Amino acid sequence: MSQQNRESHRTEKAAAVQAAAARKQRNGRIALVVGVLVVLGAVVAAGTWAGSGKSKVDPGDYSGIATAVTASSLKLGPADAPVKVVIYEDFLCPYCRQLEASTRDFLRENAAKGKVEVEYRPVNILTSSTYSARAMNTWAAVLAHAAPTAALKLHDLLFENQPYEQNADETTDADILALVEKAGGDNAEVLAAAKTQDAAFFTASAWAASSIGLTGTPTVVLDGQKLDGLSVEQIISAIEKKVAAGS
Amino acid sequence: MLPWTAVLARLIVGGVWVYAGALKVGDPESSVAAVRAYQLLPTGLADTVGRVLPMLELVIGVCLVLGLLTRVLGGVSAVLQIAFIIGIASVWARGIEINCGCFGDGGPNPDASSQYPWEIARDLGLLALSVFLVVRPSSPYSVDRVLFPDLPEVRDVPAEP
Repeated sequence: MSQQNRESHRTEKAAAVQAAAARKQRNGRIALVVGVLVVLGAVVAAGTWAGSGKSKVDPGDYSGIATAVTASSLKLGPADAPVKVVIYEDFLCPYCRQLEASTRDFLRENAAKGKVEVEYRPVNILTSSTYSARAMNTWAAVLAHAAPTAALKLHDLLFENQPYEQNADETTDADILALVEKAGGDNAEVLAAAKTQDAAFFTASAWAASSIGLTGTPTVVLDGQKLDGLSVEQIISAIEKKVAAGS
Repeated sequence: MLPWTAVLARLIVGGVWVYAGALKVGDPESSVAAVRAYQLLPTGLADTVGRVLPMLELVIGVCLVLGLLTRVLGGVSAVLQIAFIIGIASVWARGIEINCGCFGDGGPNPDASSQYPWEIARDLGLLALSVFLVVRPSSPYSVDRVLFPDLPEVRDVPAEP
């Protein structure tokens, strides 16, 4: 082996050692970055999970709550409850959806304890598509011809599966009937009634809405007092305060 | 000079994220409603995004303020800003009048069209600062300098002789 050859061999070796060290350092850094990212991801996931406030009450879950059916509404909780909440809502209204998602647990729990009577009053004010009317008509059929539990569950499912306003009519009658089936309200009478618009129900609903001067949804009447000009968040906290106070 | 610009960028972008995230993190249903108001994502995905976004914003913000993984999170921040700009431009184009929901104030707003240009301008500014942090993440007072002292893009650039 010549002197020169040995020299170059040695430099190669040194370079290889250096490269290995650099690689090791780089791998260490990558591991550290990945590790930190995993921890951050876990923090986001844990925070989302903890704060998600997802409804603990399943759709239609009302075990032990008294129900009553009127011509165009469904009532939960005892009639002599100290607080009465009437919720006017359109099945297509996004902020009604938010109100429902935010109050379901609270209102069901308190209705079960007898502290509040909740009245769900669907109205049809969003008429740029036919969805709102179709959903309400189907709900009316279930309310009239199936158990109140099925109507309650369908009410919850309609909000959970609410389409966007701009493409609401892509949700077909068959899609709505699938929810009826899920709610356990798919008997022959319901299916027959859902085929034609229930004029009596629509009139009763519109009459109830005009009697309080309804201009938008969600509108909540709390112990006979209509809550005006409040954001959804403010409506929710007004309901919670009133029910907690007990009158 | 550039490292101090990066500190400023970290504080501005990170501060805005912390503020936006903190306002929304306590009310996930409101955040979901704000995302749904754009009528852009498939409904199931909008629900998930609405729930994850506040906490994600909070974590990105805290990390940027601390200077932790500045380049990576500056990149995530830039991607989110691009998504928000697309969202706002899209509702503007479709004539949907909503509050952007950026700071937990989602909802219908008849005056929204006059706000959209400003909201987009604000997001473009934050996007520019985020991109700056991707290009020049090195800055003093950052956790990165403690964790990765040897990384060329993190190490302080030696002063000119």
